[in-house]
Order: sequence, then structure tokens, then C-alpha cells
Amino acid sequence: MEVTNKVIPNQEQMDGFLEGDTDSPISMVNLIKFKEKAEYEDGRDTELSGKEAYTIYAMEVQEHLKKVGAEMVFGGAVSRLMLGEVEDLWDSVAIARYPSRKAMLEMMMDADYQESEKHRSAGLEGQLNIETKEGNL
Amino acid sequence: MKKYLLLGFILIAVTFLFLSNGNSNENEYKVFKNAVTPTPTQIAGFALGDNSPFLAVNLLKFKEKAEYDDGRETNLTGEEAYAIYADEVQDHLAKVGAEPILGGEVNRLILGEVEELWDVVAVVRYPSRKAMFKMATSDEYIESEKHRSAGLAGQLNIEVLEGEFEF
Repeated sequence: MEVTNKVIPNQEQMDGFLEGDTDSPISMVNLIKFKEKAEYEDGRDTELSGKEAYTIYAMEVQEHLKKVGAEMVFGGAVSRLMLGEVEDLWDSVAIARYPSRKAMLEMMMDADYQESEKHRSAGLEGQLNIETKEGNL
Repeated sequence: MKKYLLLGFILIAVTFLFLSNGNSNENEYKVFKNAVTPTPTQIAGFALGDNSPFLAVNLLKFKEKAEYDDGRETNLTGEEAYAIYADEVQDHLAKVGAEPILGGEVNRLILGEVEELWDVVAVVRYPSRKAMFKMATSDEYIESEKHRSAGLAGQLNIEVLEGEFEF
């Protein structure tokens, strides 16, 4: 099976924020792959690794999450795969819990968030972000 | 002689082009394969490394209909059979000091693409690899596991060291 990590959602994925159940809590499961060296879109010189640039984002995003009532569940470095096979293993997994799709969209549209996001896209080679609805398993 | 030199040069140029094309392009497909049982290397991994806590991030795909290894008749769906396992495993986890962190049905993918989306994400925190191995090899776990393999089409299980990536 094929998997493609991305930095930016496609149109359909953006539209999805306003469709269906936009008011229930969701957990976002981020499977993250860093660039070796950070590359900023404004072309600035940097010595940062992709992971270092992303870490700036990861620290700043705490505040942005809080503002919309969201929180980090956990974040950590991938050490190995215990089951299955992937061609190029992700570097990190991070899970954030949002009160709703609406809240997440609100955060993404915020000017302060977009300022922090520059470090995210500088450091991120690509990711999967899986929206899950918490319930009994 | 000259001909071979030229041919060699072209070969190197083509290889270089191929390599540079494959370089960190976000549109590039990566391949993954869900599995039900670990490879020998993955099993051996439980004996290696230190004894620190970790998170197991399970990306699960269910069978449409449950199929038991012993061939018993069943009307259960894959998800229903797996739910029996998920229920029973709570006790097995508690016995080795592990705890579930998250269990959620997959709604959609908001970033990236996969050919076939997983059904459920489940995350468990284990105190150590040793603890997980102890659970996975206990008789009562193996009894519950029959429902797991009956319902599961395949999965990825990603081991994550919490906190190493600072948030």
C-alpha cells in the first residue's frame, strides 16, 4: 500500500473542516517526518536542522492550542516499528486533542499561529494527520 | 574504448538524475504494509534496548468478517471480534502496569494520503519492552489474542519514546 506525507492539506481536506460533525471533540494523530536541514519559505539563512525548526513550532503551538481549548496528549520520537513495514519510517508521533473541528480551524486561521507555522513548514518534510473520534474500543 | 567511456558517463548521469529526483519530494509515494504478526527481527527487538517506558501507537485495519484460526463458525464482523479482544486486553495491560491512552475511530485524513485508511488508532503506554513481552507471552493473553487475529486485517504498531521530542 502507498502512503504520501504532506505539508499542506488539499482543498477537499480543508473543506472537511466545515462538513459533518464540526462540534464534537477529536484527537489528531500526527505522523511526522522532518527535513534534514530546515528551509524557510522566506529564504532566510539558517543552520537549524528540520527537527530543530519544528521544535520551535512545537513549543510555540502550546499557547495556540490553549487559546482554542485544545491540548497535547503526547509527543515523542519514533524508536522502531513493532508491527508492519514502512519504507521510510516517521521521526515523531504527536497527538493533540481539540474540542471540535471548528476549534482547530480557528487556530489555523489565527495570525499568531500562522507566524509560528513558518517554523513548522521549514522543518517538516511531510506528515500524515489522522482525525479520530474518541470512543470506546 | 571511447564508446564505453561515453556509455559509462551516460549511465552515471542517468543514475544521478534518478537519485536527485527521489530526494525528499513530498509527492513521493512511500510503501507500507500492515501486518498481524511481528517479524523475527521485530520480536528480537523486545530483548534489546533499555527498559524505559514507551508508547505503542497502533494503526488498525479490520477484516470485513471475522475469521478464527480454529475455523469456528462466526457471524461477527472483524471489528466486533477485535472489540472482544480490546475489552479483555484491559486486564492483561493492567497486570503488567500498562495503560490505554487513546482509542479512537478514524474519521478522515486531514494531511497526506494513504491508499487504504486505517479504521482505528489505539495508543497504549507500557512501562518497558519487557512488560509488553511478558504480557504478549502469557497464556491468558494468548487466549484473548484469538479474537484479535480473527478481526484484524493488519496493522502498524509504532514504538514511540515519550518526551524525547520536546513539547
